[in-house]
Amino acid sequence: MLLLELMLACLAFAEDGATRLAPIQVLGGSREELVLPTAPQRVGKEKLESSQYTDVNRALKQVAGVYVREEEGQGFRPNIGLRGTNPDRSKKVVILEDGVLIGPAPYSAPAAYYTPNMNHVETLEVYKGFTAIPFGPNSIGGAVNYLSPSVPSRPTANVSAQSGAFGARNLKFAAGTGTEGGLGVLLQGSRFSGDGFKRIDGGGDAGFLRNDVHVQGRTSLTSGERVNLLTARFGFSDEDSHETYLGLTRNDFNRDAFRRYSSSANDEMVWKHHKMQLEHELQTGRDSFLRTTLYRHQFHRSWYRVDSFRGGSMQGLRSVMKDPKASVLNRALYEILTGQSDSSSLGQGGEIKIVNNDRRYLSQGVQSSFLESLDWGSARHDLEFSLRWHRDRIERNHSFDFYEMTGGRLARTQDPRQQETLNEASADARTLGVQDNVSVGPWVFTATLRYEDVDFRSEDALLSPGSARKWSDSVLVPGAGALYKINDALSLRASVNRGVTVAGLDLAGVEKREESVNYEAGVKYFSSEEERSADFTAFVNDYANITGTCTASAGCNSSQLDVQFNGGKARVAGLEARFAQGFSVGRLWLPVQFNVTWLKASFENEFLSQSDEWGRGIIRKGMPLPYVPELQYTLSLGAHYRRFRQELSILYQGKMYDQSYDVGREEIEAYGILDWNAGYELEKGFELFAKVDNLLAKDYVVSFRPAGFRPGKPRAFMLGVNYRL
Amino acid sequence: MKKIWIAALAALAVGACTDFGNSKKSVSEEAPQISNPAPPQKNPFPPGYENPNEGAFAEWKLLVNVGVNFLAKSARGFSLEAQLLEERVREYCSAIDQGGTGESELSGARSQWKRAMLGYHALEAVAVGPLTDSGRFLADNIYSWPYFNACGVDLEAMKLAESRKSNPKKLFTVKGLRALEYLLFEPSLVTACSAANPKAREWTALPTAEKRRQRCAYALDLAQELSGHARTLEQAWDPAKGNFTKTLVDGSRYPSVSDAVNALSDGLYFLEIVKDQKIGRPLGRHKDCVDAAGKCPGDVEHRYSGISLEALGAQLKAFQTAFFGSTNPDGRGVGFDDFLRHKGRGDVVDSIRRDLDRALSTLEEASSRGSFQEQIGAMNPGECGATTVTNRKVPLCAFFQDVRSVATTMKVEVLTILKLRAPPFFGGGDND
Repeated sequence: MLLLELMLACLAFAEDGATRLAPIQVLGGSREELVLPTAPQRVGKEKLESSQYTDVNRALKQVAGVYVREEEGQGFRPNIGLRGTNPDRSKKVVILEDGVLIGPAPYSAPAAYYTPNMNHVETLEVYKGFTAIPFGPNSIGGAVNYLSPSVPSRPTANVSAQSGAFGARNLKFAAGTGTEGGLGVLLQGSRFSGDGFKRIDGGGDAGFLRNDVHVQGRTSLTSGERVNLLTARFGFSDEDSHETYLGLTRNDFNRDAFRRYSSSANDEMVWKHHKMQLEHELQTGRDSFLRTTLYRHQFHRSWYRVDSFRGGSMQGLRSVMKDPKASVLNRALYEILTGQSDSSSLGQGGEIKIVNNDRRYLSQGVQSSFLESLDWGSARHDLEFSLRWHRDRIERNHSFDFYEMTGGRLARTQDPRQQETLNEASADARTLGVQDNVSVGPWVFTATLRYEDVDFRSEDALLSPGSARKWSDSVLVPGAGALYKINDALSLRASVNRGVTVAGLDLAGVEKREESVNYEAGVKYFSSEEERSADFTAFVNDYANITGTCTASAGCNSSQLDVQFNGGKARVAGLEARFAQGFSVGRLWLPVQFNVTWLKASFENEFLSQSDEWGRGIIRKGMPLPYVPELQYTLSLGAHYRRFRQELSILYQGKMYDQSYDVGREEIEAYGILDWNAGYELEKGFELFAKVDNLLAKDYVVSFRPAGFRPGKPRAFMLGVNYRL
Repeated sequence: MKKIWIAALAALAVGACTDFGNSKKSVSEEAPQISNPAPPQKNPFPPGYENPNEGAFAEWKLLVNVGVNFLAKSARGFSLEAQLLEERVREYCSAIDQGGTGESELSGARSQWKRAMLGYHALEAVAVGPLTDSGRFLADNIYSWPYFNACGVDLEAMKLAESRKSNPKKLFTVKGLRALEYLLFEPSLVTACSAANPKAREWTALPTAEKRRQRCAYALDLAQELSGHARTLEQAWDPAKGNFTKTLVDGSRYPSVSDAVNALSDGLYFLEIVKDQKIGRPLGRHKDCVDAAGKCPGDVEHRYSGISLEALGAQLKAFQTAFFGSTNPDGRGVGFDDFLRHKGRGDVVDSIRRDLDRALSTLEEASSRGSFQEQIGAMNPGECGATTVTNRKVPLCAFFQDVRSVATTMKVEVLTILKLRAPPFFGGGDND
């Protein structure tokens, strides 16, 4: 009944008409989490609105168990990790928008170069471990669901204008209207731009521009009491950002973390994303509900960026960034990258290769969920059946140009543009899910199952005929859990599940699945009366085979992109805790939230790694999984007084490593930053706000891969005004 | 409850405050300046390492045999050739200083450069240890290929003539065997610098004899430096001095004998560079050849001296020697072939042997038909593209396919069977 109640509550259209499936939340938790074993954790609408997040990385740090690897400091291409998975390109978590797979090609190329723009997102849901079983394909760690607002049932409008440091401007609006349970429309748009916070040697554009437009239209197909709604959603997003993979040497980072070498002056990422969805929601009975969604997403990106020197590789470039004084050659190449020497000092080998990695993606399918609540004897069953047919495809068209560094400027050589990669991969996936939450007295037992059957195909147009490969895999992912309600405020829960990910493309033709057994136990406390909640979870993910998937951002060669490597046994053990308490002192309300994650993620066997992601060499038992911080916490200290509100967030991330293999491994040092935001409501619906990211101006490294140390966002303020009708 | 919160906040503030400030604690030390490795000390073998080529296979035997019987001897040979090169260049310079044409001396210097170059190619094909230590100091300073700055060489020659002092801060791209090839073989004496460079105009205005004299003087400067590097390399391998072979097996550098074998196999991966950059690229069979004609004859390795095919032969033979542990594949020396047979994979040995034999005999036949550059110039790139190991339309392209077969077997079979990792910069056939 729980799921169905929530679903119908959602369709009852809350008074403000812009909330989808949003149970009441109090300080980081909800009653739903207390009583429903498969409930997600949320970063709610209020939190996202008050913090005015444009960077999903910062928003997700509010949830225990989520760790992110920043990249360009703006969150344009988030790297999200859950339960020990490598956060690189969020390729090991499922990215959903409104419950629909939104990664560009989640089966054939799981690296999520596209994620929804936070300007149109209302709520974030995080499903971890056991709760993520229904989704697939890469859900051993979990899933992140971006929720957009639903169509309102009365006229609404919201306008926000923000301006801040480094030329940042963020304009967004939402307007809609509708009737209760009937026709409605919602239009959202935003334009986020800035000059960027890095300075390119010798000048150059380091800025960005992101546009985002979404339209939703809803109509009721019948006039009866039962819900019978058809909703169409269309979205268009684009980005033009002068971003690069080229970082800095350690010493240059320490001198000026926000410098960019002149060799990266031409780097630019351009992409466009189109979204079309048609959703039908039907109440089939008093206690049953059917939701069916047709979807088609297209994504086209092209990243023109420094890749290597002529005849060299990305690893060679990383070696220069790692130690430019390691050899006379490294020193000479470093001087060319920084514009201190001309390419001619090394002859052709000093010419810089700039790749144009052009990729087109298509993701489409249809999915249907049927929910029914039944009473069988003394037990109440909340059943959910789901089906998904999904197809995705990636077409890689990679080419490159050569440039000479002359007098600190890049000049294209006379060489024509060359083709490097011309291939495609596709996948057809059929997914069946069944879940039953059985309530018996204070107990809720959960049985859940996902079955996936996937056909893959890949073909390389540059290789000789016959390079096409086909393979198939089927997996069964069962899980079981139990929740015991001690009283109205306290519950205990435990679960065990099998984790399986279908085998991806393996260069050696030895496709192998990622497999694990996951154990989890926890206790939840929630008291809205006392404004207090607490949540403690311990888990172990025991991998029989952990897999890695190569991406350029992890520093892999172009021939290895999206190729799978097998790492054998690994174990991820962790503790996640969340505490929240509100203190009232007269008219002053002081909400305090704290979440902390401790993770121990390491290999459990010895094997020879040929993967650049883990490092090449003999990986031994106990070596850490890359980019997984051992400790992370977030502490938020709020204050609300009459029309004023403020929040100080302390974010700490422990040290991590750029690879597992200990020879040549780089440590990404621990860092802590403070973010602050505040708002003042001049009159109802009209608010002035301010925020400062990285209040203490901490210079911190977020990544060494793929080619050099790159900084997190520096201290940056933003001022703005919000008006809500 | 409030007390608990206050205590928690205090603990967090104290425990992690350093990570919130800009302490710069992670500043790494400046790397030391790159310099010639220290002269090696005596490093004798302990008892038990005398007879590597007798008895059952063991990994240490492979290392000792290849180290002592191939690499140490090759280093010794190269050192002698480099010293002789210094002498021959000195004789040439003396001849032209005395007003002669120096033709016969130049011929002698060119012949000696060729012997030294081929001697170095044998070492380069299995680059490990002293050659690549200290950030490849010796490797880059002895032979800078593929990096080279011809204009820089001309400028250094003029600088030497003006200052009469050797420049100790020369970049590696203007010295070593590659610069010597340019100085001894480039026939036109026209500078490689652009006409806009004022120094180019100065050079062009010089009389021909003075140009020869300046190039020779700089060649002698480089030959002296080269000879010193070659001696350092020789001493590092010499069993009576540095004896790097012992370092391969004694655990002082490599944690295990297997790690040392992996270091040697990393060195053998130079075959990938030979395949891609030295053969494939000039033939137009590699993506780095970007000429619209579909072939890049100008990218051959030794375009001034024209010894590219001989050089390829020297490198393949060196690979063969290190792989089979002997110059003769049927010889007794312990090599990777014995390791594979020890693992029960004599079929892989046979495959490599067959491909290498075919490659070397094709190369030998091709050598009689002109230089590599000339033959590529006359070649039809379409036919080259259609050439395979079995359909040998263009012999040199078939030679490329043979070498490619060896390289593929190394990557796919040998590494897997012997449980060796690929060296970091060679991933999954990226350069094919």
